[in-house]
Amino acid sequence: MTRVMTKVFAIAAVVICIGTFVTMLIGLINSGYQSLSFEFLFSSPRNFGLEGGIAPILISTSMILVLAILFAVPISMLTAIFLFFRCRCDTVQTRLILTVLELLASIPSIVFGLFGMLFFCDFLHLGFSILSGGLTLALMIFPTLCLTLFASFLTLPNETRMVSESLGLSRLTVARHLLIPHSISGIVAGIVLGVCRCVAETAALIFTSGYSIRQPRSIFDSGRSLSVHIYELAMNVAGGDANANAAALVLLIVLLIINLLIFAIVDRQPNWIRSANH
Amino acid sequence: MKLTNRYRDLTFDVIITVGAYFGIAVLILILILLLGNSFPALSEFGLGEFITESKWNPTNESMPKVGAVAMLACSLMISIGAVAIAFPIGLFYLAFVFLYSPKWMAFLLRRIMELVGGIPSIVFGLWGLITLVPMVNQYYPPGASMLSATLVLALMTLPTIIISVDAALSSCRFDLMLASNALGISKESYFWFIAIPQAKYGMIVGIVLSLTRVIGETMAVVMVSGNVIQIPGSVFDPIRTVTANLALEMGYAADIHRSALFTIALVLMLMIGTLVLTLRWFQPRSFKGE
Amino acid sequence: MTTSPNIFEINNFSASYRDAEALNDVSLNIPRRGIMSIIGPSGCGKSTLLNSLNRITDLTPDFSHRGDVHFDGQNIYQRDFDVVNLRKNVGLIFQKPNPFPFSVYKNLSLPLKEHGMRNRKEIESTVNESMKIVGLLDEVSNIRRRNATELSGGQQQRLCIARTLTLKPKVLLCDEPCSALDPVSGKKIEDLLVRLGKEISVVVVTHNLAQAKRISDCVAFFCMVEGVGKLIEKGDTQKIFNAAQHHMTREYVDGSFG
Repeated sequence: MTRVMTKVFAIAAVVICIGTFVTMLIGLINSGYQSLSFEFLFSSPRNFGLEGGIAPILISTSMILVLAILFAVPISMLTAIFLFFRCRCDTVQTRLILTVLELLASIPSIVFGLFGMLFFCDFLHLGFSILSGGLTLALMIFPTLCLTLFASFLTLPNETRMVSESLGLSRLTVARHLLIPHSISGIVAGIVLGVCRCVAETAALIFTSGYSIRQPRSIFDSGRSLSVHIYELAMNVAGGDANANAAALVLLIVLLIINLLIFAIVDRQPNWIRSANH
Repeated sequence: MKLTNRYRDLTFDVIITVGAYFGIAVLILILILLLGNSFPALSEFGLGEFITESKWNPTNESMPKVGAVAMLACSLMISIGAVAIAFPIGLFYLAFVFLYSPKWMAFLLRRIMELVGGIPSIVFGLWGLITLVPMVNQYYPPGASMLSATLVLALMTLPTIIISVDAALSSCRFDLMLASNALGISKESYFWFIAIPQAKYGMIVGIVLSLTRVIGETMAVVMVSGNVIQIPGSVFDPIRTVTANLALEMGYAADIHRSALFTIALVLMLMIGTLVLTLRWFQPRSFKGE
Repeated sequence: MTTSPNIFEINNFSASYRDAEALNDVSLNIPRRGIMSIIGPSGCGKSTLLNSLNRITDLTPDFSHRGDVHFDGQNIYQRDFDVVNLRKNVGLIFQKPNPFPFSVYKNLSLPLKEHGMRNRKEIESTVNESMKIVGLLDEVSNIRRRNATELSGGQQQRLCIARTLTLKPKVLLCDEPCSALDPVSGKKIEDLLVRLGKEISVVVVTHNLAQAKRISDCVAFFCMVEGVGKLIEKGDTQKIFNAAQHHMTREYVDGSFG
């Protein structure tokens, strides 16, 4: 009985899962591809995005993304290196920091958005700007990135650690010449997954980087990210569905490219990278 | 000579320690800012009103109400509902991966879930808005409802659950499956009665963590849930969650309204934080990354 | 500084991990020259002793100790002791060869740069000198390109020794340096240790009694007594192998237990 039921349900589950996702994808492609064209990618939106393309939005998105990564990676690196060197001898401190990171990772992105609005936009007087959005996203991906980097550092063989210590190597040298080169593929994978989360994020950006549809001139200008654009078109612009679908398609293609990239770089993602990021 | 070495390490230690405490500083800063901004509303209404009253009408001049119960209840109901739908499906999906699929197919099925896991929530929301809501609308108008929200969230959380449960299951010993086969234990029995109890703990962690993700989800919910603040009479009624309320009202809220919004954000954050801390409290040592 | 004939003076040293004592009340002097073998059955605290001489036990969170260890007249466990300097002077070789995963040259030059050598010529000549001592200079070509992990096991182990030798250590601690290698490579390491023993102090932990007999000048025998590692007997190699005082030592070297 168990055998038959298991088999039936298992096959059903796979069919349901794959089926739903395939239908979803086909639906998106179906309703989006007509609007998708060369012109759509390289022209400015007109009439609230009902006409025209998404060029300035792509630019804003990449600017936000670059800023977020630029801020998040170094600080995550420091935290992860700290955890690596301390996790053996100072369990209390390590546990405290790990717990805090887990708490931060569990904070909903909308709350990060509110925090960004209060801190970057108001308190630091950055206003609705690409910089505020980038900084907010940096904070949002920071905890997960830390945990991923830490997990990849822990794969450094213990012997290497012992030898470097017995030779009296400084921690800076160990980090620079042994730790980072050893875990480079894990680091790259972690960063790329952070990029994916940034590209996908909407809620943290609506109150920080704003809705401006114009071409941003600097990082202090407001700029609309791709996902915010999809949201606006779908929810607040009547008849924006077609272009929302097209923009969603662009977003998916970008993510697919990033994902293929990551598979190329890290041929086999170990379990910890995947589980740390979901 | 030795001085330079020591000096370098000292500088390096200081820098990484600063880095390490950055996270703590951020958490404290978030708490302070949220608490500071919720203070006006908290002092006027008291926390009690937020967590007992279900009417939300902070802009009413004569009788402002800031009850978050309806929204909190909806947040919890659709999240738990979504996980309750996604978990069994995910488990059977994994049963297929572990028991019936050849290597290449298992690899493919896992990769597909990883790819799907990367789909932005806004895309799920868009799909829900354009496809699912009209579909539900045909039978039970208005369509944008608790059901749609739960289904979209279930779909969204499915890859997360599959990936984390997969990680938990992969850590138990499937090489024993053949040995137990020789003893007359079918591989299905092995999966249900030996592997899953072993992986129980990792699975619970995975489920709770995806639950926190789902509670925090905003955009997809805004797009498909109808956004009416009420305790729903049936699953076909429109609802509004805490996160959706934040996204919808923060743009124009002012004064006490704004402060009330920060308060419900704080309540939400504390709720999720408690969940995470409880989980960590019960975690055996080996799960804490030490 | 003292001119004691001993480089290490270990007084009433006890070590434990968490609550389990690994070494109990060891007092041992290690001379400035010559090879000392440490023998004894597994789990009697030999490696623990070696690791605590380099203070690499700092990496183990649950490690604690009593008693003291003097290196060159200084207590290595006192508070402001310069550990980095200790590690420069006390090389540690592990059982498994573990070169760093980069070029042979960088393996040798990295610790040198780390300890303050800046002059390129000087670094190069020191590296060559160490390579020559361990006999790798002729065996391995193109050391700037060649990745150290591509070498054979024996060569890797000799590279590890060379790596510590670049720092001109006063003591070389070896934790079963040959046991992961084939006999020919092991022999090369043995010969190397004998040569080194003429200049500096070499301490070798080994399970191979024949080896201990061949190479060492003096021998210390450790054994478990009631679950705790203890130093049973120490003395000249001849004495330990032919006329040991303690009955446990006699039994061990005769091969009747352990």
